[in-house]
Amino acid sequence: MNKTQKGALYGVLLSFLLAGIVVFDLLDTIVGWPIKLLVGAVWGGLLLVPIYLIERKKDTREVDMDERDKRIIKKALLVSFILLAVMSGLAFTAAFFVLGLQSTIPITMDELSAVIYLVLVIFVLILSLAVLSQYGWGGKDGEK
Amino acid sequence: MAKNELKNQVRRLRFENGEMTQQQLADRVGVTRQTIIAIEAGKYAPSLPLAFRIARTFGVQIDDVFQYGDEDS
Repeated sequence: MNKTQKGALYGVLLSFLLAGIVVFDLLDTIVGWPIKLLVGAVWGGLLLVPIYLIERKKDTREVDMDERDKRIIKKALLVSFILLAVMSGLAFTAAFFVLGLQSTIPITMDELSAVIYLVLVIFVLILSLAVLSQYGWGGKDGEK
Repeated sequence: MAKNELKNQVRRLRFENGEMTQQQLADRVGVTRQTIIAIEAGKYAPSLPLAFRIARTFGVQIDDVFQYGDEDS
């Protein structure tokens, strides 16, 4: 498994952690901001662990990323942006049909930040899965 | 248009060149071992510069390594 694959696996993990942040973000009335801050700090620490593990065994003689990895990432980014655009379009269309063109809805800052987080979660998840699927599931990359 | 048009002799040439490992070839042409695996398996068509580097590593012409379409190896 090369560095790009490890990064994509980390991306899947990251998206679940971000999903956790979304949940906590919406639980503001229950837990209050000091606890949220603490949880955020713990999550922040957890996010650094995989980065350390990926970077740790770096051998300067070995190639980290080559033309194939770059092509895979480029294609995955394209797929992610297209899917995100389609999903956004569908969400706006659904909102239009449900609420109407002139409607307004009240939204708190917590809910707004949760929506922004959620978009980030979806993007990271799609990107990571798109990368992993191009390498082939299982991480052995057709190795015999 | 036929699928999997690009055939290659990388695996055979590796063994004919002192049983070179995939990692050794990867290091010499500047890619990861996974890319060599993918090329040998026909899952990845390398760029022209990479194809030339592979051919030069084996000391052969590029069409001795890669064959396109119905060409015989």
